[in-house]
Amino acid sequence: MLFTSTDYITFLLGVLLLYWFLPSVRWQNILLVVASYFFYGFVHPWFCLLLVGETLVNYGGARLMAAIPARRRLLLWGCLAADLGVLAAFKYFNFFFDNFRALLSTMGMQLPPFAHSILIPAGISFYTFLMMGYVIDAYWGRVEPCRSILDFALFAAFFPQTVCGPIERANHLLPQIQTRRRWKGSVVTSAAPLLLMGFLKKLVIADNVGVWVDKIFMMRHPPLPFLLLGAFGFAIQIYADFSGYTDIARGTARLFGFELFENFHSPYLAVSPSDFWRRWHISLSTWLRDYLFLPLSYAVMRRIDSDRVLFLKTESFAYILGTMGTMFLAGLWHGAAWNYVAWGSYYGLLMVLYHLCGVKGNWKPRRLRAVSAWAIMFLLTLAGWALFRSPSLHWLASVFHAPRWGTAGPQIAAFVMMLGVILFYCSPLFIRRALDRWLPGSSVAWAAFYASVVIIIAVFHHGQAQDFIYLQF
Amino acid sequence: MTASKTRTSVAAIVFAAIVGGSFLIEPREDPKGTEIRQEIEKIEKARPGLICVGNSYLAAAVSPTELSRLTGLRVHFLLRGGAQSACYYLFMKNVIGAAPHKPRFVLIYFQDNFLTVPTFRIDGNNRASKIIPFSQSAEPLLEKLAYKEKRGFLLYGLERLWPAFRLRDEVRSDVQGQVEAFFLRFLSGPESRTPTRVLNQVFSENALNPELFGERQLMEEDLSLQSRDSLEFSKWIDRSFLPPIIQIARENGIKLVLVRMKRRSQAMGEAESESLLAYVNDLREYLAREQVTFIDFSHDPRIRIEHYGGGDHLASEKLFTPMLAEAIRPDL
Repeated sequence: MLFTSTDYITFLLGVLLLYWFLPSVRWQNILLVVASYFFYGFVHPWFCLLLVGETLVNYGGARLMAAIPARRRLLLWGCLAADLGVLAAFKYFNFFFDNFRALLSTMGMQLPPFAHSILIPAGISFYTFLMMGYVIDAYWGRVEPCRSILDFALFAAFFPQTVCGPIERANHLLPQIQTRRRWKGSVVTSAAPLLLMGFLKKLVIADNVGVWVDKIFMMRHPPLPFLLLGAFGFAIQIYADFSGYTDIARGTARLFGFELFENFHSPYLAVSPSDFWRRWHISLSTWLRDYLFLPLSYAVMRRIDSDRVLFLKTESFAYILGTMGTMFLAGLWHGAAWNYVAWGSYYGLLMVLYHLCGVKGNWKPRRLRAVSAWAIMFLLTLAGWALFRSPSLHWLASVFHAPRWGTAGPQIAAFVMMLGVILFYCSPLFIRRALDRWLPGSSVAWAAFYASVVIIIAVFHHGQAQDFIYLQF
Repeated sequence: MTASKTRTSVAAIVFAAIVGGSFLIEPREDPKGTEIRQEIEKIEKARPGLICVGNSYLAAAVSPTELSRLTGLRVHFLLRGGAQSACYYLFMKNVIGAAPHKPRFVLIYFQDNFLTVPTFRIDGNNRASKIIPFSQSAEPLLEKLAYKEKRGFLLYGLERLWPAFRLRDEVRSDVQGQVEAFFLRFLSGPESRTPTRVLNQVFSENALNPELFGERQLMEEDLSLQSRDSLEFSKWIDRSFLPPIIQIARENGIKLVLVRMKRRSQAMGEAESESLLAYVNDLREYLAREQVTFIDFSHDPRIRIEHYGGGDHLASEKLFTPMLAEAIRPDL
């Protein structure tokens, strides 16, 4: 079920109405589990089987870790193998098989072609990472394994965050699940701005800007300024699309008395690649940091006895290996295609280069340096989005191989027009930022702004609803 | 009352006043009928024996002059890029049915099950540029088959109550057009260029990658056509615009010819699904009962993948126009 469909609005109102009349936390949780499975299986009911399977494996695995401490390690690997196996089978099988087949054919060996046509279950990467985080935390002793299967089932399937996150942590969400939620007026007043901004970002900004972005990336051979404009448009589109989803998810969760993680913090104001990842898809980047980058880097450092490797300090060497490994997998997490892998690796490379130039994670330049650092990082971000959005790496290479500049009259006119329209659709974001800065406490100004948002959504939403981009991941 | 409560109450009043006020504003509607009159005038001037109804697929595949030469009939095209069955119904009712000159034949060019999906391409820019300009002030059948079906109770009710929401596609298209024109003027002064002409030039079919264009089309169709058991002919026929189209043709003494076109995927050798085959059989039987000529090019081996332009556009007038003329000759 899509957040932007009328089915969802009807579903949400129905569940909310029941929810706040229920007498206990247990009944509230039962209703939410049922509603979550209904939401998740609305289009393809069989998706629920996978979710049930992963829920049982991870719940059981963590419970057994508490019951048989001597087998904790084995149980952890068992759970992780099951989780990653599901991902590999449903999301990556065709990709790996095709590439393996191509590799063999370069060595003169032939494998018959094979591809399964099973649909990739929506949100599989999100809820798999959520549950992997839980079992790893249980193994490390950071969380107490959940006793109630009902509570854990809700943790795994809670509908606002099942298909596109934010990827929650057990120590943040489980305590909220176990506590009775009571109705108060702030449930609505705190949720409404998030919901309105979410719908505005998705329906008005992302979907309208996306039309232009699609046009550019559908060209056989776009002039380079068009590619830059396409990347700029896509930067706006994907931000509005994904942060819009997160806003709706967080707003919906608030209507039920839950607080989910923030996922974005002005990502395009970043001054370095690591700063960007502290602001973009925060729940994924912190997940990768805690469960992949840090363990990987520490493992490398533990295995090296000397102070230096090649010409690098051991810490730097571990950082480079950890970063490249993590960002490669971050790219692959997004999708089974080489341009996602290239996108992730591109960020890994940027982080390493910045690191080698002495720009560490906590770098905070001031004034002119800050402006130049921001401008450079913004251009690098656009280059990254061009990699991410391009139909294939071959297409992108061909655009650069014989570059065209688009200096003909209609091309310049089209460029300026498209830029104008993209900026026009983004204008509510700029107005909101100005209000945040100049009138943060003016309730009248905010009320007028959100009332205008309602009207803008009604009039300017794009007529043909598009799927959320991150649904495919 | 505390200061915080006062602030909240004032904010609530401001919010309600602005949103409520928007229910009272009636945006100015464009005068109806201009495009209808223009199209009727064209028909009167051309006095065709055959009118071909379709969209850009028809424009790309058939040459009207050549078709006219081969059939001996005056041929007139009534088409809009992206038009689908709701728009064809409006063409039939408000243009062909209303024009004093009646052609002997109307040919409708379509693909697969597109004629029985009344909700396909009726919103957004399609609504602003094709549906509204060809509608009369009241179109009860269009409302019933297309919009009530698609909107559901909640949105349809809101459309009735909230004028700004009802006219959203026109307002959005108008405002976006103004923004485009502003930037165009800002750049090049008051020249004769229009935003549409500039964009058509830059994003012409030759500039687009045919495979990517095709994928995009399929994605769009997926949302409307594949997601709702739309290949069940018996379920959809009476909820579609096909029966009224046939009825209008009959009332006006026009012989209707439906031409199903081969798609890029078929030219690439992709097999049709069982449900599509069953659907086409049912359609064929239905049209035979209604005495409507049905010509199906979807399996014609003469149409090959190299004849296609972007997506499903058969960009080969020289090949296809004689094929079409030959296929309709028995009816002439």
